[in-house]
Amino acid sequence: MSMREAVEMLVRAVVEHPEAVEVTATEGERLIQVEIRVAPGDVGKVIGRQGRVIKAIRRLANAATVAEHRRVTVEIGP
Amino acid sequence: MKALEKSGRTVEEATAAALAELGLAREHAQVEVLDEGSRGLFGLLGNKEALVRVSPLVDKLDTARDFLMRLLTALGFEAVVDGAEEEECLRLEVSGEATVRLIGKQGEVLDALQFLLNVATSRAVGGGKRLVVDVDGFRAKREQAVRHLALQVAEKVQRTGERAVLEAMNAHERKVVHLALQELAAVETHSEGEEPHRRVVIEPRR
Repeated sequence: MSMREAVEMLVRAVVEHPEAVEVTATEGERLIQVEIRVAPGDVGKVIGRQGRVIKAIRRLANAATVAEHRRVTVEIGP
Repeated sequence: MKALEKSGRTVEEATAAALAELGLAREHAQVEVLDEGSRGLFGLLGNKEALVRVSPLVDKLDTARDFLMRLLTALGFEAVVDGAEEEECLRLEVSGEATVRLIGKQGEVLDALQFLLNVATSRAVGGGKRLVVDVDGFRAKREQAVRHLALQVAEKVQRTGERAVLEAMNAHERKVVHLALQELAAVETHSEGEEPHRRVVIEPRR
């Protein structure tokens, strides 16, 4: 499984500048920390109206790791 | 593959040139005429070239299905995705091992997946029918359960003459309730509250 790849696919698909998307993932035993960087004008696209896009990404990411008892955090970096 | 703009003496010539450059057959391309051009007086004065934009025809269902399969693989699911075009939507049926985790409490993971797929695909393809994602027939079963519950509660409302408030449901499920009960003469329905806690109210028809 590649949580990094999955999040990157989703983010690239919703932004105006997919070439500027960078996603890193730090995988621990209990936690996967995913950080997203996008072009400044694309931050709103990744968050979505009322946070719908980022919330949906978080929800899906956590559903994929629930069986291995790992949590996923997804943040948009500066 | 991107769109290509090409000019030529006529629309036909411009289109042919663009198709050749893109290596596309006419039936796999979408041609937009930006300027029809004009021959001018006796072909001498005011000659204006035709301008067309040619882009590959992409199938929304195929694009969405491919994206969903790659996404599920990256998330560690071994799943099969079947696609079907229906009258009102494009339906993607996911089945496979452990895909039940893609449903979540009251379908909240499934709704998140469907929402993301619609956003992602409309960026790439734009327009077209809405995508509906289902896992192991969950939506179909849930719809049936909601319809069954609505009819049961409506019967009780009719019997007791007291209004009833159903559990919170999403817009689609509320619509299923309204539709299931609209033919009944004894009760009427409407929704109350704010998303995501909006509920259907069933009361005796006055």
